[in-house]
Amino acid sequence: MFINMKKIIIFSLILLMTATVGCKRDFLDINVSPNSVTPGSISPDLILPRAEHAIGARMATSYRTYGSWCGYWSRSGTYGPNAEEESYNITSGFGAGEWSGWYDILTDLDIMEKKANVLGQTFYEGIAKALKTVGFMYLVDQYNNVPYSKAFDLTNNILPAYDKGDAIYADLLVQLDNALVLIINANVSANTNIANADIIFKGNQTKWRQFINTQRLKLLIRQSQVPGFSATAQIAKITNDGSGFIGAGQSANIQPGYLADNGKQNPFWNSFEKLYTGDAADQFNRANNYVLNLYRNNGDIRYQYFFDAAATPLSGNTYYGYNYGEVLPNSDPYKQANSSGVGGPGLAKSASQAQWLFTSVESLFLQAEAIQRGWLPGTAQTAYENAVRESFSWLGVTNAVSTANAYLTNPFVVVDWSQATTSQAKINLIATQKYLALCGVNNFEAWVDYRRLGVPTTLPLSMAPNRAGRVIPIRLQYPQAEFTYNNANVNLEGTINPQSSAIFWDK
Amino acid sequence: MRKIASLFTMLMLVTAFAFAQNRTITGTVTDEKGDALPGASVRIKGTRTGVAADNNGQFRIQAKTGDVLLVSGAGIDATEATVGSGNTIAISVKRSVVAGTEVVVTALGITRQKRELGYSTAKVSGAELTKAKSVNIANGLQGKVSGLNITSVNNGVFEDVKINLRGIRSLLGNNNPMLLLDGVPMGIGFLSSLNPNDIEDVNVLKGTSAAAIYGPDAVNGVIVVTTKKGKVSTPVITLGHSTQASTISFFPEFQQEFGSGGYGAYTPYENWSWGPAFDGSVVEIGHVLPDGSVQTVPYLPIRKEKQKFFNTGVTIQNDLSFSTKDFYLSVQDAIIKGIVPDDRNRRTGIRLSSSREFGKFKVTFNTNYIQSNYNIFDDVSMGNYNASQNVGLNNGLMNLIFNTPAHIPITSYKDFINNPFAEYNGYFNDYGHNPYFAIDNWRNFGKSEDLISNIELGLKATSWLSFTYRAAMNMSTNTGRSTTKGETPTAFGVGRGFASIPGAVGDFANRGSRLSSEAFATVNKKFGELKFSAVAGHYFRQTDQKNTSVSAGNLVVPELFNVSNRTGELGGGSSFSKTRLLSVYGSIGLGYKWANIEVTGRNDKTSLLAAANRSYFYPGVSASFVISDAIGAIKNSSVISYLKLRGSWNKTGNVTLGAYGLEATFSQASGFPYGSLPGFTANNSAPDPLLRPEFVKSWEAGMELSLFKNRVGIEATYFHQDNTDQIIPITVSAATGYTSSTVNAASFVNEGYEFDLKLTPLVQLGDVRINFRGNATYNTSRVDEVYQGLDQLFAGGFNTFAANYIVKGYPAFVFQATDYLRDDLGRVIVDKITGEPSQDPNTKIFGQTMPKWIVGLNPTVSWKNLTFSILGEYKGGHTAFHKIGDDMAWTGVSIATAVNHRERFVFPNSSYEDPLNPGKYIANTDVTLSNVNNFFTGVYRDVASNFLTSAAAWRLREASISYDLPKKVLGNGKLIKGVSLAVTGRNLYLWLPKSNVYSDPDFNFSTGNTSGVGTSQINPPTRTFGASAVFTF
Repeated sequence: MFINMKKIIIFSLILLMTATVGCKRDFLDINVSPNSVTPGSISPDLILPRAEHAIGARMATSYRTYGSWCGYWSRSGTYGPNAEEESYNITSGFGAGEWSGWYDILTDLDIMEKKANVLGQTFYEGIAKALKTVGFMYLVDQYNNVPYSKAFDLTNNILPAYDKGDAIYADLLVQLDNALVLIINANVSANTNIANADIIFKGNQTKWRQFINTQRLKLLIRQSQVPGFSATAQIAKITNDGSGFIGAGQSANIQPGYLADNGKQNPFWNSFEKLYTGDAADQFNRANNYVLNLYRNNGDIRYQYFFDAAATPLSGNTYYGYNYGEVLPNSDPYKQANSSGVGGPGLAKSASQAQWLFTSVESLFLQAEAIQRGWLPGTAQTAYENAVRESFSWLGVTNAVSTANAYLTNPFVVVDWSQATTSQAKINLIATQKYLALCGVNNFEAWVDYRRLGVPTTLPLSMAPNRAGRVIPIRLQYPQAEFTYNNANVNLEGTINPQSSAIFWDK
Repeated sequence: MRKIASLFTMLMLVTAFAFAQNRTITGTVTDEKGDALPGASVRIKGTRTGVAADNNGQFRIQAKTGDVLLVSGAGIDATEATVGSGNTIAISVKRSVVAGTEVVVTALGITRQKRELGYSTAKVSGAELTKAKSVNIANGLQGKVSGLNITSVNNGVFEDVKINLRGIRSLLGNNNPMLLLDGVPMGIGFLSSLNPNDIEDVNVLKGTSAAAIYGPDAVNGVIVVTTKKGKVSTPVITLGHSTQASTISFFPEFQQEFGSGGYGAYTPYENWSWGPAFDGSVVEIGHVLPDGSVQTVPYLPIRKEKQKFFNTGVTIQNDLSFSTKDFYLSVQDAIIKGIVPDDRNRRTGIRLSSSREFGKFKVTFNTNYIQSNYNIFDDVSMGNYNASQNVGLNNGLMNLIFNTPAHIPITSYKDFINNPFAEYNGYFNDYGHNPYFAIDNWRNFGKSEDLISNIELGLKATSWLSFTYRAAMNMSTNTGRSTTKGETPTAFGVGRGFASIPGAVGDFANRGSRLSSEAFATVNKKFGELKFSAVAGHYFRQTDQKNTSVSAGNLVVPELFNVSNRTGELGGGSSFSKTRLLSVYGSIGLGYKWANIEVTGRNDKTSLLAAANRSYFYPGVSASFVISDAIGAIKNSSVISYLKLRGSWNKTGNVTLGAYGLEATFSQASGFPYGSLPGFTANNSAPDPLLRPEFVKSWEAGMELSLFKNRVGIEATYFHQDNTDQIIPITVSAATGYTSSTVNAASFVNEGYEFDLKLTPLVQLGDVRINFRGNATYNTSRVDEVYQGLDQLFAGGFNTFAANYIVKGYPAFVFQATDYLRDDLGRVIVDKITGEPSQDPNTKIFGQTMPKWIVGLNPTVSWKNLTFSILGEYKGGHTAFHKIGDDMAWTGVSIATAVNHRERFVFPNSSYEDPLNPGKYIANTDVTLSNVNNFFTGVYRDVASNFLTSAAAWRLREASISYDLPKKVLGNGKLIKGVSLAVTGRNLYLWLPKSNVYSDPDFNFSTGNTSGVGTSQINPPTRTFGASAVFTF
């Protein structure tokens, strides 16, 4: 019996020992991820490069639809119709990536802004604010009212309310004020690694000031048709800053080190020219006959820079385009290989080229319109002609300046300044040439100007058989995810009709 | 006329005459499998002389020739044997299920009498499990236990299954029951690794209460698997073989009227079947090849051509086992060839189980090593490639096959190397690969290895106190590789728009381990009629997981699958995780004659939660009352043999969160890092850092009733579970900065009824015995709350199109899907000019996705050594979605697209807006669809409700005929002790409602919580026939 009791005691002790093994206090404190960067370890210089790249990539590659609606591009004969897009029948499933895509980028910028603020890295903070105005501009331009003041606050606003589009625009201008102050006063050396992390301007304060001024001008030009709108106070801020705008040859370009490798190519090249494998990247988008004819019928060589020659021309048609929305019989001989791709040699130069974000061409056209509107001093015609010349140069047209000058003397209505007699006609001419300069470069601007000014005035509608009288949509429907996950707030916006519910600046 | 045998036949006395002197008779008592039966009582009939068999089933008794020995005991049929002239006697008895005396393995591997339990359990014997020779134990359990919903989610070489007991308790977390293998808890995934022939029996503990003591893993019930151990000292060798063949049992319906093309015009290289009607003329298909040749075929549909793409699947299993007392060794080899050409898997396992007693100590050691080697088509890589090419509808093998026009001789393209019309550049289709090329080009192969070992030390300190210590280790290693052979198009191919497919290789090695240590003491003491039992224990567990992968996306030398043979950067990643759990638990039970009550409690501490929330306690109580013992009138009733009432209540805590789930994270994306430049982006999910455990409060009440001397057995249970504080990644507006946030949110109620009926026998006619077992489960749930201001949540599927949703006030889950815009009367609103309906921007709620009813019916007929058994299963009350229907509408191959021979038609039950009275609708009787082609490839596809069907199905799950060769034939067991032959069939027939022209509604795109979402990655359902032989030596 004694022996048995002893055994029991020994066994119980063993049990007790196993039970108390590892009762150190930190025994269960092992839940720190060894795999991922967390909010504690992130820093602004780790966020900025990807955010800048993502903005450029989105601007350059996400707007093929608007390019097609506005006469730049068209579906190649190889593909069946894209029914929803070509019939203008916009539902909540269409373009939903715009919403989530921009908020995704804006979230990173918001985190970077707050982190930089805590760290006292005001340059990063200013860049975050400036770039946020770009993202929200795209959101308002497509959806009008969107969450802004209540965004990025999961804890307190899991169902973010919407702000009015005009109020957002007004605040974006305020944010540009703040960004300007932060960048002007920034101690560059306190902003760790900014010369590498800023893959647009390498931490150059002057260039960021120019970017902010040009972005401000862009926001103002967008609102120019709003009745009673005055740009005076805002223009004064640009003038006071004194750094000017993005000038000729000074495009804001993004260069993280693109190279010809999987997932690392220049975004435009990768989407519309060639894959890293060397295969054609895009068999779908082809030249639209509308814009192709606008170039060719007006002595404008630039079509050879915006578009590729057909890989296998048929009947001598080196440059061949399609009519948007036209349903071609399968017997139509012109397939993708027989038509002009959209990554022309003026745009897609190499897999490692920098990605343009804000081109000097667009900046010059914005300035020309501002001068014509009397907002900025100068001669509108000179500014206009400089902008056209900058387009030829930007594209790398052979003998750009002389070719541009020759083009400017053409007596065609799409280019001849002297034929634009009224102020509105001059604005429209500037917008028309802007349209002709940004084909594939910035498809979004074509859609903005078409809504804002109705330019180009001769733009044909889609030939889709089921278009059923619809006109080019003037906005997107809110995405289905908002109807599902933020239902009460999105429903406060009332019934949205993409054919008629205008963005606030689209008067 | 059928005669129902007397219930009392077995009790009828056989007159025996005594004519010899008493002498010592030595005997053994074994069950029908030859396993020794310890402790059986052996008595000479009509006398008081009796002994008990020892641990080896052996006994000695003084008897004389002609005496009748009556063998009885718990769990066996009373059996008589007449003493012959020899001095030894072997008595084989049948194990019976005498109500209440059935022994059940419960928590901690402790065996309990079923009559004492306050909760519902079910037992499936190894023999029942392996009746139809399924490779996966889970398939063998299908339809056999009420409350158990086992769903095969696809039909491949892995037999992926999803197992739910009593519905779900976690909306988006884990709902898998725990696997308790020989007393050691482990992940349910190991179930598919086990050799079904090693299984002694499976006990299913259905509710949370059965497992209150087991903690978080057991919140979804427990599947207790007990493996075979050697029982008799004479060695027994078993050799088994089975071969099974699988063929397609159900195929979608295709239109047979129209061939390739668009808008009625013929195109030889289209994947659209929107061409002209078949007319028997000779047509070209594909392009004219560079050498001028072109393939021509009669323009007629080829019947059953698509079915012929699939092989007959073959499954071959070979088993060998050796067992002797306290020693069991088995080897199994299962070779599975899938219906998809070249898909195969081979599982080989070895198991050793051994124990030894040293006085009061007992040491047990079990170890099991299983290896699976698979080689399958890699549809994920194909999908990724096609996505990178912006090629839609090509992310599943079924898309390639089903969407082929009906006049294309698809099976003639097998030789894609030599046949110029099958080769990459020459295949007829401009928009899809030759499926034979695809399955060769994208492969996935690998090896998974499981090592499951445990050691158990027992000390029986006194007659009433014992200690047990268990240490267990489960290790899983998965190493695998996906390869893409790659292809470079010729100039001709480039002209057709074909791109190159870069050669690629991806290697991964995942290693997971789980170490556990558990010690507990048990007390069992009787004080007169009062039984006292108690358990106190401690459990510790650590899990480690390490996943590493490396890949190269652009190989230089073709088909040299090594990452060093590449251009560009190396891809891949690695992750580690470690979790710990510490628990203490205890229970106290009291039993008095006919009443039992048990109280349990457990406290867990987990590393997964923040310090403030990581420790949580949960209690439980259960009770049982054997009314038939308590009330004399029932006890003596000739009708009621047994009646028990039971009930239980408990709370269980559960943390359905992985390691490191409390913080938002960042990762590099979009090509970053570019050289020395890093670039991070916030990931899409942000959790609440102060998450708490999910709690389940559940109660159940039930009764067990046996009538007519246990000939009729009935069990019924009601269960009710309140599931609160669900840890849920709720989808949120992207404007919050994230698309999902993990919070303690939704609560829901899950309840239902379970019924089991056993008729043993239903009919007995001489030697013919017909048994019947049936079970039925009714299960429903209701979401009470989702989250502040949020009434619904996406759970899985095609979001914003057709998906499982959690919606307040509805069962979890319901389909939410797009539908037509309808007027107040439910009529589809069409355009007054085009006759075309449009899609309602708001999605609508359709039926629930999990079955309301599950019924299993299992009649068995036996005549002497011949047994015929079938198992029918029904599931119903739910809805399924078939994405393939949408794809088949786009290409115009589905039967729906040929409605009205593609002539214009008035959309059924439609209306259009009254132009004079906006908002009012006029019944549409005359406006026809302007373009049928546009409609089916447009709006029809956008409306997911077109592809929602009832998910109800009856299926003939199992059928088997088995025959045990009589011992006489085998020379009375001198060499061969037994031969058992069987012909088996699985899933022989599937009966679906007319609306479901697509596939088995059980199939689902994942083994996650959601269900009823079919995709093009899912193979057609099959039926399996086979034959098996088992030899015992």
